[in-house]
Amino acid sequence: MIDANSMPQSVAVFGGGSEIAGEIVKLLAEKRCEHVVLCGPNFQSMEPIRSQIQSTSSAKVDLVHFDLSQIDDIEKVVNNIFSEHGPIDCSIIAGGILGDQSNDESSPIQVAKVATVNYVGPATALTAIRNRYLDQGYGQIIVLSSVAGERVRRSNYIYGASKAALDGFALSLGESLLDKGIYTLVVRPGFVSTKMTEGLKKAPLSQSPVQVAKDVLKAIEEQKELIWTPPAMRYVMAIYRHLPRKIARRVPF
Amino acid sequence: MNLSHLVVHLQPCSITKMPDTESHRSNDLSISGPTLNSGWGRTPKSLGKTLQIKGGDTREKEVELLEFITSNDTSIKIAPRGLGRSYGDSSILSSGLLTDPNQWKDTFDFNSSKGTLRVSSGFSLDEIMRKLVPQGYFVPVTPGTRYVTIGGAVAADIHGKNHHVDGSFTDHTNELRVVSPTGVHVLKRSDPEFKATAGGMGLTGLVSEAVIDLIPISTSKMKVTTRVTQNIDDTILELEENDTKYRYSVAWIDCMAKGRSLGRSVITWGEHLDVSEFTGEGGPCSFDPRFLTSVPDIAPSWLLNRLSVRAFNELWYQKGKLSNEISIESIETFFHPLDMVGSWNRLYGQKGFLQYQFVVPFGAEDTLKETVRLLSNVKVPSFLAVLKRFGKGSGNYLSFPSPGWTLALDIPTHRFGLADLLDRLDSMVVASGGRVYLAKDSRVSKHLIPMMYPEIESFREVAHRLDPDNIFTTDMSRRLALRVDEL
Repeated sequence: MIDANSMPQSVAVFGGGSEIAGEIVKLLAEKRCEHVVLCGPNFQSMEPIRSQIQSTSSAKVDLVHFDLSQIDDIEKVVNNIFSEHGPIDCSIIAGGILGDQSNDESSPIQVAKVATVNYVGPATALTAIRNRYLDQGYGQIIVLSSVAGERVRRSNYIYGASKAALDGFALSLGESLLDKGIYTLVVRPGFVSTKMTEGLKKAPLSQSPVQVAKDVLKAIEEQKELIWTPPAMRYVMAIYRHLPRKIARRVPF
Repeated sequence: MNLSHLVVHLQPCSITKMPDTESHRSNDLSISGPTLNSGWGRTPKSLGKTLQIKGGDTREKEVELLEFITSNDTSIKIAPRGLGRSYGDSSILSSGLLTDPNQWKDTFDFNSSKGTLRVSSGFSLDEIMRKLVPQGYFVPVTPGTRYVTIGGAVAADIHGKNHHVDGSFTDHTNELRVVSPTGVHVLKRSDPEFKATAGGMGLTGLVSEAVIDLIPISTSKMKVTTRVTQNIDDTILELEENDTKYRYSVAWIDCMAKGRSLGRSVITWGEHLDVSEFTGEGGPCSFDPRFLTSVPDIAPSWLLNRLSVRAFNELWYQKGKLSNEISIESIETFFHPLDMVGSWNRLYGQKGFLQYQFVVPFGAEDTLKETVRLLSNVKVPSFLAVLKRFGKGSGNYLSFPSPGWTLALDIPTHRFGLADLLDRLDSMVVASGGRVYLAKDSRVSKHLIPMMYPEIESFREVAHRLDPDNIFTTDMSRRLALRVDEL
């Protein structure tokens, strides 16, 4: 169950290999969370996260095979997760791929893959989760979006556009669930140093997964619906979003 | 009642589903909803349906409810709900069925020779007072609101300003009728089932009827003594010295005052006014409380902030200073001042609030002072807190009151740091042998419950005997694993 401070007792991570989600779950497990279900395509990337969670808490951690690119299976797998491991108080949508912009630009199938894993799969999963929550009678959703989706840029438009779609979907899904008591938080991190961004040039205001997780925990307790992390990113993006196109395209990030 | 023909089948675990609205329809029984429900604090919330049992009297409805429970599979869960005045999640049940207090209002037998009342569980203290105060009788225990049902009063084993003299509500309850999946049980105070039901948060079944003692009064007025104290030590001393002289006693602490004023209070002591001292107009027992106003649901969450609450507390304190030492007040202004403002919980905005109430034993005054100091230091606004001394406990397994100091205060939720602060207070309370009040709770750690309520094992055992398939549960019970099946 979820308490008055929005702290869940059970969490499912869709994209269970995500380092950011791993840090969020670690913090939740220091509060009230005692059961974690990591759902992802690759057990090898989830195992270290499981041991990290268990090194700082006594939470039970289960691993489930789940693939955001297999959209025909998503509803079935989500239903299985809820029936076998439920009730699930909190669902974190954390899966995604960065792709390789310069190579993928000419590859229709790669563009489709990024769009599927970053948007179509998560939107499918969110819809299945929504249905389970309405049956269960409560629940909360945390969606890891990105500032890259706030204004899609030339330098990573394939990834950015997929995150823009997910961001819009999640915000409006949250609106639709407000009067059902189901709370949705959309998180827009800036540059985060993780496996996914390894080797990339660090952007300004870059931060670690731990810092993102701390901001997310604060936002959950305050029951915010949308946050930027670091918080200053909100103002950076507010300016960037309103730059005329001719100027925006010269900004080097 | 012979229930041997009712066979209960255990169902395999499957996806949680809202109970079907159509499939359980009979002439007198229907299911409506789902609706979004919460306690008085408006957080947490969950979707649940409502079970309505129409027609017949309370005895017939008991049988109908029992038949409904035993003829359905055990995945259908039920939570007894009254007027939803408990603060947290003890009267809500996600994906389950809530009962409706309006359906349990048939029996109202007042025995004037014994001064007792046999009453259906859906009647509120407000309704009972409106009927019986004009006849010269008062409820044995009233909390800070009249809008609690008899069922809720039993389930939370409520207390009032007279606990140090009179004990809690079920100390004045002589008989309970409880609909559990194993049958309709008639319970006397010495029964283990009574001890599990009184204070049992609705988890042993639905209380359908109770017999309660009333107290005779000769007027509907209160003779009130007011004293203002400078700080926490002063407050503690005044209560220790003078409490026992009065039937009703409470201190309103300003939890935002700091330094030398830390713990400054307005103490009010009260007695029912004797008719020989009555001088007012109208009958001595007239009773007709009205709403002054009602709060619309538009208050933003920031409305109650450090500044506005500090200003209110200052006003209250200065008003106490100016008031006469002895005054005559009505029942509603003395006991239920907040009832004059309809839906006052909306003042805290959509994000809601919680009430933190704990008791620590006598001798743990240092813990009490430290909690007041911590609360005055944090960045959360808290309206006047209520401090009082409890008398002896009732001996029920999960009843809250036990001898010591109880402090209760309202705090807006969804403020960063509140969760950690209250966890810190919890550990201090537990370390000194105290506990938090389940009827107010919406956030305590389940791991502290066995320390706070050492008799929970007896409770679990008796509740399991009455309800072996865990049909009766609540969101609170699931969160805190109060029932044995939820461990």
